[in-house]
Amino acid sequence: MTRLHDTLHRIADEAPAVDLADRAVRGSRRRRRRRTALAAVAAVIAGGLAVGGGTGLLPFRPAHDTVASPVNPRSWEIESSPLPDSGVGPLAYAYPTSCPDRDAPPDCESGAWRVVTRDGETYDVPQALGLDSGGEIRGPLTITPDGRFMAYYSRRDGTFKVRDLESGKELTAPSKVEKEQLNGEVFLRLSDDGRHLAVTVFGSSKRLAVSIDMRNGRTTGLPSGWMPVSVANDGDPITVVDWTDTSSTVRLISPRGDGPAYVIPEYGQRFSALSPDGRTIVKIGMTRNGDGPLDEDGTLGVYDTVEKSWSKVEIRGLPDDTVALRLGHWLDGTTVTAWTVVSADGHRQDDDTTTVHAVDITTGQARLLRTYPFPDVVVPGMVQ
Amino acid sequence: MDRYDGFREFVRARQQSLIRTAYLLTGDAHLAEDLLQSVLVKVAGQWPKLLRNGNPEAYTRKALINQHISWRRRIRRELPSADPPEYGRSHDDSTIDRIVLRQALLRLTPRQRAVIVLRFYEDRTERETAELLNCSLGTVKSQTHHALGRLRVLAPELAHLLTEADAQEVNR
Repeated sequence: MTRLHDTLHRIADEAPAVDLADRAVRGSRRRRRRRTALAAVAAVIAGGLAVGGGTGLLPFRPAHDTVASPVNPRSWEIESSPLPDSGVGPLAYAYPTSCPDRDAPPDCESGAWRVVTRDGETYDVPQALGLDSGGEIRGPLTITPDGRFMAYYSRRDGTFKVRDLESGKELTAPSKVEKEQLNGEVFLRLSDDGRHLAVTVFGSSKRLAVSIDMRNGRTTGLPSGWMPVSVANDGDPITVVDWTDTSSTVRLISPRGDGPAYVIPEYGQRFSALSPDGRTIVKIGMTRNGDGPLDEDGTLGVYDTVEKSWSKVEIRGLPDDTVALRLGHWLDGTTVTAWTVVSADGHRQDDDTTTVHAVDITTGQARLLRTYPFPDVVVPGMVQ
Repeated sequence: MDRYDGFREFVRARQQSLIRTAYLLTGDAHLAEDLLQSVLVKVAGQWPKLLRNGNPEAYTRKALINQHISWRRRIRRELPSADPPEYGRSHDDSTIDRIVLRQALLRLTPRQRAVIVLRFYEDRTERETAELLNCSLGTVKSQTHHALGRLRVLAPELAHLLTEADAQEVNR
């Protein structure tokens, strides 16, 4: 045994005592009930498709996929084709392929990016780096709220690109980014008009934190260690956040690289995009339970950068056991998108689908926007 | 017959061992519990099949590793600050090693953390590690090399721990 082994064991000694048996059984029963319910829904949808119409609830093209596997359809069973040069409709979502089961065919490629249009067409995006062959690096991909633009890391060109899906026109970042620089946690944010791109990597051996005007190549350095949240259409401001255990700080960075900072008296790193009028930002409300961990407390925290006011609003209208986990773009001046999950006892219970609600920040009222048939998909406009 | 017959007993017998691995993988007690529970829910769903055909513990450990790797984003959300540890007079060398190593582990990629945990905590062979990570023997070798190298950069003060590990790598 080595001293590294012994030290790892001393760290493991800090692990909490747990009693998870009954909780796991409850979670499994809940999942089984949910699968049964979704299978029933899928059968209804399949029936609808058979007579010539779809409900659009599950953004899927082939009825047989939905019937065969209503939850977590297997990547290799879904019909897809390479992304055409042009004429691609707005995207509904993107996901990386997965080949975890023993019956996956030998040619199943894991971690490759796929996009799905609102019309249900599924396309492979081989030009975008997904999970690299060593399994260490995962190329990012992001989609604008309207689904018309996507940004990705190009395998061939070794840098970031923004693609207008309808015209097929691509804008390319002015300088190369070594693939190894993505060996960390990559945050890629794209302005709604597809012109400005912000990218920051945490944990990489080589620093990367910039915002790029993809039309003229002008590049703005971003502060190191701050997570980009959103970029305004004219590139001003770029919203970045940092956090401590008891507070979080929002900075609005101008193209000159400076800008004001606003301190919010609550931990958090899950923020919405900056509102279209440039003054409001929303975060997932977090509260520490005694000496325990910080948990989502069922609220949204709303910060007004003009008034410098901070308030919290309780989210209402979500199904039982559902909490908002992430936030995204704004649907109008008071409504923000929220990624929601089923959670019990602070633990996520559903990992079969992705659900997005719209939440009115003045009332906290939520309404269901869409359910996607995979967990952890890339949702247009979501701060992921 | 309840489809979960035997599952509770299995969990009660193995959960403390599993949570230790989960804690090393995540570096956070809450996330470790979250990770393990999420995996156990899946194991519970497969339980009748696992009882008939499989090895529940091997399945669970493999699921734990894979779930951890696919969780990279959620893990980041709860990372504590990367401030250096405070060296107090009350800390002996082994305590400092523990604190520094824990913080350095948090800055590795999920796969690098997994390979360190499997090779040097669970003392798995390279072949077993490759099987658990669904990758080749060569990938395990290179990832171990890179992970140790990254730890050396992140925490030069741990050289005395890592040199031994390097030697072990060469000898295996």
